[in-house]
Amino acid sequence: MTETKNKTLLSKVIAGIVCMLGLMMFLGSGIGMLVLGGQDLYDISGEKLERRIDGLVAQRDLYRILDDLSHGRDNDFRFNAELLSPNLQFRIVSVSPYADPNENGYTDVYYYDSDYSEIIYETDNFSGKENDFVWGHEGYYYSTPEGDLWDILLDRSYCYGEDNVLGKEYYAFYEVADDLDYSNRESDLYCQAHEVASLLAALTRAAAIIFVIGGVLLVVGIVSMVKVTGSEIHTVHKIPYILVLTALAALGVLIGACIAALFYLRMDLATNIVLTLFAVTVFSVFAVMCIYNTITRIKARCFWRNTLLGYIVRGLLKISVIAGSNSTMLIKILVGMGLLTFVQIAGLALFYADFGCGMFAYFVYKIIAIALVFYLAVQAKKVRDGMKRVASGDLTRPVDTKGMLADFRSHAEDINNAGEGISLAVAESIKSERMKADLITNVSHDIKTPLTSIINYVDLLKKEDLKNEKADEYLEVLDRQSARLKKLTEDIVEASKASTGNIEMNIERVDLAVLLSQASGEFEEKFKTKDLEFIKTLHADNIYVNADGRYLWRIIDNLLRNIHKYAKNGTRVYLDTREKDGRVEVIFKNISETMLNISPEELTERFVRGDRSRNTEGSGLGLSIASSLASGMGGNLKLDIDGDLFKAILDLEKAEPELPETEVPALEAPSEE
Amino acid sequence: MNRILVCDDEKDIVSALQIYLGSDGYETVSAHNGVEALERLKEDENINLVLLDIMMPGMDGIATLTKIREFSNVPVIFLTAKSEDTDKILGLNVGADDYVTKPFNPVELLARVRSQLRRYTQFGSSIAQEAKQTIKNGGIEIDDDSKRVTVDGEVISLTKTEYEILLLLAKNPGRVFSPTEIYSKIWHENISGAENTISVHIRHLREKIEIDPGNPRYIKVVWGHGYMMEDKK
Repeated sequence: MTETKNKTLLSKVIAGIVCMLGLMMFLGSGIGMLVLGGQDLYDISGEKLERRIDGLVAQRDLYRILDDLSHGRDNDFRFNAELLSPNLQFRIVSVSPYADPNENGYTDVYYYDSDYSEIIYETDNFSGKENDFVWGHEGYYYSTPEGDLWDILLDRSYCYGEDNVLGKEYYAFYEVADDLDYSNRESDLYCQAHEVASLLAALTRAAAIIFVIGGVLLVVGIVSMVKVTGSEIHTVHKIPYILVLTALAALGVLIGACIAALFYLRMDLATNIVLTLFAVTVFSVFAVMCIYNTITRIKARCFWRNTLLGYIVRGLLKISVIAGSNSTMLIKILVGMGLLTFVQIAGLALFYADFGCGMFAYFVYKIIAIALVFYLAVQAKKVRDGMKRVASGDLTRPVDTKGMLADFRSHAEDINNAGEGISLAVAESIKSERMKADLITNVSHDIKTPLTSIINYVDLLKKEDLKNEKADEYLEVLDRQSARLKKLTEDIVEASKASTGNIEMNIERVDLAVLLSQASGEFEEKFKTKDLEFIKTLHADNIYVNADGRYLWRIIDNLLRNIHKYAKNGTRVYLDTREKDGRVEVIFKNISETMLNISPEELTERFVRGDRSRNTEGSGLGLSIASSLASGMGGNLKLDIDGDLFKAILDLEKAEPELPETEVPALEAPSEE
Repeated sequence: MNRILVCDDEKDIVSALQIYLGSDGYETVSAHNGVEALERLKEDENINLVLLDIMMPGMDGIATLTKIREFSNVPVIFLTAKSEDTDKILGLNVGADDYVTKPFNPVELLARVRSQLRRYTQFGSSIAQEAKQTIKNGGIEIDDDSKRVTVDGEVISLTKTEYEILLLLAKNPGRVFSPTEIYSKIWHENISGAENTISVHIRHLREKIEIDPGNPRYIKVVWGHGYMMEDKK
C-alpha cells in the first residue's frame, strides 16, 4: 500500500515539476517576448538606433540641466560639459506662475549650445508666442515646484520653502544637430548599443523557441498531472474556487511587483536573475498546486459546486425550489420586478427633468399600482373563498374561474378538482355504507320468509297432541331458537343501520325524568318476576336533554332488558342521574348473575369481535345498538365492569331548562259529566 | 261465515295461515301472486278480508292493493318481511288497513284479523247507536253512561283508574298528557314521587286495549313527554 502511495506521490511530484518548468518557460519567455517585441528590435538599423540613443541621452541631459536650473545654479553648472552629448542643442523656458501670461511672463530663457561652451540667456527676446515653443523635435514639460528634480521624480517631497509653494514651470526642448553623420560613428556608446540590440534580438528569437518548448512541457505536465491525480477530495478541494484564484492572482501580482522592484533597483544582473528565478519558482510551485487542486475538483465532479457561478446557480435553484415547481411564476415575478424597476428609474428621470410632470406621472403610476394590487387581491380572495368552501365541506360550488389570471386560474381549477375528488370520495363512501345497510336489510328479508314458516309450523306442531315427552321437549328448543333467530334478524338490521348512521334522528328537548318514569313503569313488573328491586334516584324533578325520544327509549329499553336478563335474582338495580359540565349522565347499575369475564369493549363491539361476546340468549346486539344510537344523538354509552358490578353510563347533551312544556297548550280539564 | 283471501308466494306460509284461520272458523281462499289475488277477489264477492304479501314476483303487494282499491273497499292486512318504518307508512298510505311484519305471532295476527272483520262488518251493517253518549275513536267505543268500553265490538273490563285515564285520553285525542297532568286530573292532587303509578296503569290499559302492547295503535307513548290517544277519526 505504502509503496504504491509513494509511487503515486513520486509521479505526482515529477508531473508537477514538468508542469512547473513548462509554466516557467512558457510564462517567462512569453513575458520576455512581449517586452522585447515592444522594443521593435528586429529591424533596427544603425541610424534609427543612434537617433534613439540620442533621444535618450538628450532626455538624460535635460534632467541634469533642469536639476541645475531648479536649484538656481544657472550660471554655474555642477557637471562637466563633456558629460553632455556633443550633438545636442537645448532650449529651456521657465515660466513663473506669478507672471501674467498675457504679457511677457516668461522670465528666463536659456539656450545651450551643442558644445556647452557658453550659455546664452535671451530673456528679453523671448516673445512667449506659441511658435517659439516649436523649436526642437522633442521636448518635455514639467510643472513642478522648484526643487531637486530627482526628489520630485522619486516623489520624495514637494515642500521646498514657503515662497515656492507654486513652483515654476519648465519647458525644455532639445534638438539633435541636423548635419550629423550616422554612417561611421565610432563612439563606445553606439558600439555597445548595437551589441546590446543584436543580443536582445537574438534573445527574442530564443524566447520564441523556449515559449514553444515551455508550452509543450506545460501541456505534457498537465496531461500527466490529470493522469496521476485521484478523485479523492479533502478540505482544500472544498475551498471556494474564487479564493484559490484570488490567492494565485495576488501571489502573481506580488511576485511581479517584486521583480519590477528588483529591476528598478538596478542591481547586479546575476543577482537579479537569481532572485527573479526564485520568485518565479515560488509562483510556479503555487500555480502547480492550484492546478492539481483544480484537476482533483474536476475529477471528483465537484468543480462547479464551489465556484462563484455554482453558488449563484444553486442559490437560484434553491429559490426556485422554494417557489415550488411553478418556475413560470418565479420568472413572471422577476420580469415584473425588472419592469417595475425600469419604470421607477424612468420616473426618477422624469422627476429630474420636470417636477410637475414627474408628480403627475407618479400619481398615475400609483393609481395603476393600487388598481393592480386590488385586482390581484380580489382574485386571491376568490381562490381563498373557494378553498374555504371546500374545507367546510361545501363541494358543490367550485370557484368561478372566469376572467382569472392564468396562475390564479390554475390554482382555482386545482381547488375545483380537489373539491370534485372529495365529493366523489364522500359519495362513494356514503354509497358503500348504504349498500352495506341495504345488503343486510335485504338479506334479513330473505331470511324472514323461511323463518316465518319455521315459526308457524313449530307453533302448529306444538298444538298437535304428540303424546311424546321428548318430542315436546325438542319442540320447545325449536320454538326458543326460532324466536331467537327472529330477534337476531331484527336486531341485525337495526344494528347495521345504527352503526352506519343510517337512522334519521329527530333531536328535540326531552324530559328525561318523565321518560325514565315511563320506562320504569314498563319494567316494574318484569323486574318483580326476578325479584329485582328497582331503585331510581333522579337529581331533579325535570331533567331536559337533547335527544330523539323514541330512540332514547330504545336505548333505555335495551339497557333495562339487558339488566332484566342478566341481573342476579333478588338483587337491587340502581338508576341514577347526575349533571356534569353541561351533560346529563344516566347511570344503570346491577349485579350480574354470572361472572363477567369479558371487557366492556367486547360487549359493544359485537359486530367486530364475536367469539366471547356471544352467549346463548338473545342476539347480543342490544348493547351495540344502544351504543350506536347514543352516539347518533350526540351522546355516549360507556360500559364499566367491576367484578360482578355491571355499570352502564349513558351520557347525553343537556337541554336548556327554560320553556317548560309549552308545545301542547293545556286543554280544558276533562269535563265531569 | 267470513271468507279470507290469503295471498303469498310462499306456499308453506299460505297453508300455515289457512290452518290458523281455519281453526278460528274462517273460510280461506288462496292466491300466490298479485294477479291471482285480483282474479279471486273479482270472482268471489264474499271475500271479507285480504291478507297480502308485499314482496311477490310479478305484481307486488303494493301494486295489487292499488288495483284492489279501484273496485273494492275490502279490509287488507299487509303481511310482509319489510319492517322498516318507511315500508309501513307506504303500505298504509296506499290503502292497507293494517300492517303485520313477518315473522308474525299467529295469535296477534288472528286478533288483528278479528278486529278488522268486526269493524268491516259493523260498518257494513251500520247499526247506529247514536242515542247513546259514546266516545268513539277508531275501534274504541266508550259509553260513559254504562262505563262500558268496547274495542272492535269486544267488551273490555277496566279498573276505575284505567277507565278514567282512558276517558281523559279519548276525550282529547292527539293531545299529549304528561304523567303529572294525568295524575292531577285523575286524583285531583299533586303528584309526589308516584309518576311510576301512571306508567304502570297506562301499561295495563295498553295490554287490555291493544293487540300488540309493544306496538300500540291507540294509546301511544310519547317518550320523554307523556301519553296520548292517537286520533283515528
